[in-house]
Amino acid sequence: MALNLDDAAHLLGVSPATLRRWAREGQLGVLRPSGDYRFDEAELRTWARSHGLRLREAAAGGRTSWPTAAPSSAHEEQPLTLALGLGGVLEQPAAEDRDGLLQSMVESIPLDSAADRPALLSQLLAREQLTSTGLGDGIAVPHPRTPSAAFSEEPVIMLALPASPIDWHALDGKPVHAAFLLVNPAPEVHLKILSRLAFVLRDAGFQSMLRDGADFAEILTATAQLEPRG
Amino acid sequence: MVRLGRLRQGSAGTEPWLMALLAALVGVAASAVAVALRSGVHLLFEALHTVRESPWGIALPAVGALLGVIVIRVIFREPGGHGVPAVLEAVSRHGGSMRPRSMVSRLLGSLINVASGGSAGLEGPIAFSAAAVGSTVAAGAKVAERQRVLLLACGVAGGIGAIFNAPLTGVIFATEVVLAEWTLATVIPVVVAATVATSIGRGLLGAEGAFSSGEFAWDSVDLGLAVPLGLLAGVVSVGLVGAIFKVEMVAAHLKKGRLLGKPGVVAAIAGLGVGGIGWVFPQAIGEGYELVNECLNDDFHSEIFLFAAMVLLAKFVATVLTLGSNAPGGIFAPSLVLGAALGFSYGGALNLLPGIEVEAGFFALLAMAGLVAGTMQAPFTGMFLALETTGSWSETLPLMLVAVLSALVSRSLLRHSFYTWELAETGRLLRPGTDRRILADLQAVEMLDLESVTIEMGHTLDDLAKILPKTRRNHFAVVDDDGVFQGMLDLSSLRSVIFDPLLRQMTPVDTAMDSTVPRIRDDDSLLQAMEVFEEVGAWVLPVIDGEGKFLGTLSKSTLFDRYRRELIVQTSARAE
Repeated sequence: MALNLDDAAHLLGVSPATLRRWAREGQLGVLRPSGDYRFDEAELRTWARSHGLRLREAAAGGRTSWPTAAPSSAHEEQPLTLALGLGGVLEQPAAEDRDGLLQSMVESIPLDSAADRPALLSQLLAREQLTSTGLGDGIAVPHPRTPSAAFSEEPVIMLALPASPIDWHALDGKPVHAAFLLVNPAPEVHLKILSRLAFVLRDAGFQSMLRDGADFAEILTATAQLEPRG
Repeated sequence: MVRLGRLRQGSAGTEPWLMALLAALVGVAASAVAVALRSGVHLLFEALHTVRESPWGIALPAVGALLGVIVIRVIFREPGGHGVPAVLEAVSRHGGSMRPRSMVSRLLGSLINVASGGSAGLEGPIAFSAAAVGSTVAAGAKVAERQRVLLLACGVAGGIGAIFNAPLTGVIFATEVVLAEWTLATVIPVVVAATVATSIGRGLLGAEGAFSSGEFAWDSVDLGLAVPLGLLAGVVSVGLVGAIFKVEMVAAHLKKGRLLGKPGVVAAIAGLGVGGIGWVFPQAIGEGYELVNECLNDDFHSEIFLFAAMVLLAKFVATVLTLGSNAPGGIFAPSLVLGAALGFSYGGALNLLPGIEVEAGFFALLAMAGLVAGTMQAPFTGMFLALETTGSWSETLPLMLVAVLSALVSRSLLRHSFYTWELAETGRLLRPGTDRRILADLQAVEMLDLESVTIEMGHTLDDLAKILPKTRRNHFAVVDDDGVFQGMLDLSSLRSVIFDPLLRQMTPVDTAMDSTVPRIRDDDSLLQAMEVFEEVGAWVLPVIDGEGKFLGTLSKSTLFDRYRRELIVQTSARAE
């Protein structure tokens, strides 16, 4: 297979300018040196091996914290809305305290069948031990201490609207009437989703929707309207 | 004045003079070592004359090998072996540094072994001892690594030049085998050392070459007949080197035993075999230079070349036993003797063919160069050794032909020479200034960022934000109470929350860190570290110790910077 200059340079992990210089110095064979560089892939691989150069394909793109599956366009555009749509809502849960609410959320959140739910619960409690996830103004964002793909391969958010407010040891001391359970595959994704949620929660209209126990469809629509695209 | 300035540009000023002076000093010392060794072997050989003639003579090589190994291994506490690989390793791995006691250890050991009949030469021990002389002078003069290696090579050139009365061979050997580099800056001091050392050696040991040969009249037919001999010499060289290493492997296996594991026991057993061979073929043991002279001068049982062939075989086995069992000694002399016997047999065989009449001594000379060139994969050394030790300067052309053909065969059949085999197989042959050498030298610990910032588990990004103004780092290690590494924080991936006071206050580092980041162990070589960097495409990675404790971060940019500094240090000539 013939490779062009850019592809060949990428494969070798050098810049096209370097590859052009190597070709000019006669370090490696060029198929069509008349201005338009072409390299024979098999020959290039042999050459790289004989010179002890590691090819790029193994490390293509480097490390990424994003899930390995290719993200859909909606994923890239509005990950928060997508995650909330996946997780859904738990209305009027019977729980009377924080730990009870967390337990019923873990039981009902739609996750992959392989997800380790007991571990998720203990991770959530461990996280609350560090500092409260109460954001203030009656809203909490519980999440596991260490985001992990073991819980979910993609971001999932479940909203719980308890019948009566629950004490969450929040900084402002106010009891919680809306809890967003954030289950993310990796720290970087978690921080991104968290910051987007915090942005949406700053909206006064959105806050009152949560306080008044609005319909979940309305909340989801409002989220989609408020979440920045891209 | 302008013109002078231009002349001086690009030259190195007084440094070449300093190096030449030090090289001359090394040459004087190296010649002393050579004279001591040559006279010592001569005196001891004479002193052992009566023992050799008695029935006890058969055990003499065994006793010699045992004592020789004991001197080196037990008294001087140095690894055994023939010497030259140790010199190459000093160049490869220790920047040309050798211990001062190495100046005498191998000298005494090989003196005893060779004088009592071990089938080995003196070039290994002389190269080793004289290299140690050069290294010691360099240490005294406090020069840079590159110059230390150069002075070590000067010692080798001087020692070999003086002991064989062969200055050019010393220069070529030091450059071709030890330095593997030919530049004006390296050639000048080496030539100075060889000239000085050989001059003194001639004064004290006499001006004769090691061998004397008659005049040969050769023509193009002889030249044509030299071609098969060159190829044959290559094959015999490969056989010799291969057999030595086979025996060495068997010996290494035997040395695992309790009694056999004692220093010198295996060498002594092999020495018994050598003694037995010597009982039947006295020509085959010791340095064996008389045999060479007899072959060269065509008076070695000229009618019965079959006998020469049998001596060839006996010498081959004796050499394999001596060198394979790690008795101290070199391969120069056995190669020369084997070559002479091979060439003589070849010439004798030709004479049996109808219509062909050749001088067997001529082919003996050619095969001497061929064997040395083949075993050491050093055609120049083989050629000049034969030229200088016999004084046969009119045979340059056929010598060149045979030496290069033999080296060609050897190079195509063996990946390494007798000298470099073991080092290369164990990854210890690393020429200065090469990628592998630099990566092997630098340890992960040497390039740790010791000012890396750590933060304990349970703290929040708000705590991190507070220390941010005090540091210029972008990567932070998260550790537990015991300092055990837990994960890595990369500022660039914290962008979405770090500017929001509420979010960073409620985000513990536990949740934000990457706990899957690959760790580098402090005892990892840089080669291994580089592999990890390339594999994950990271720029900064944590380094931990055996207990998982965080030691610091290692960044690709530091690595490149240190790599370049190391390269400069290894290749520049100037002292700091």
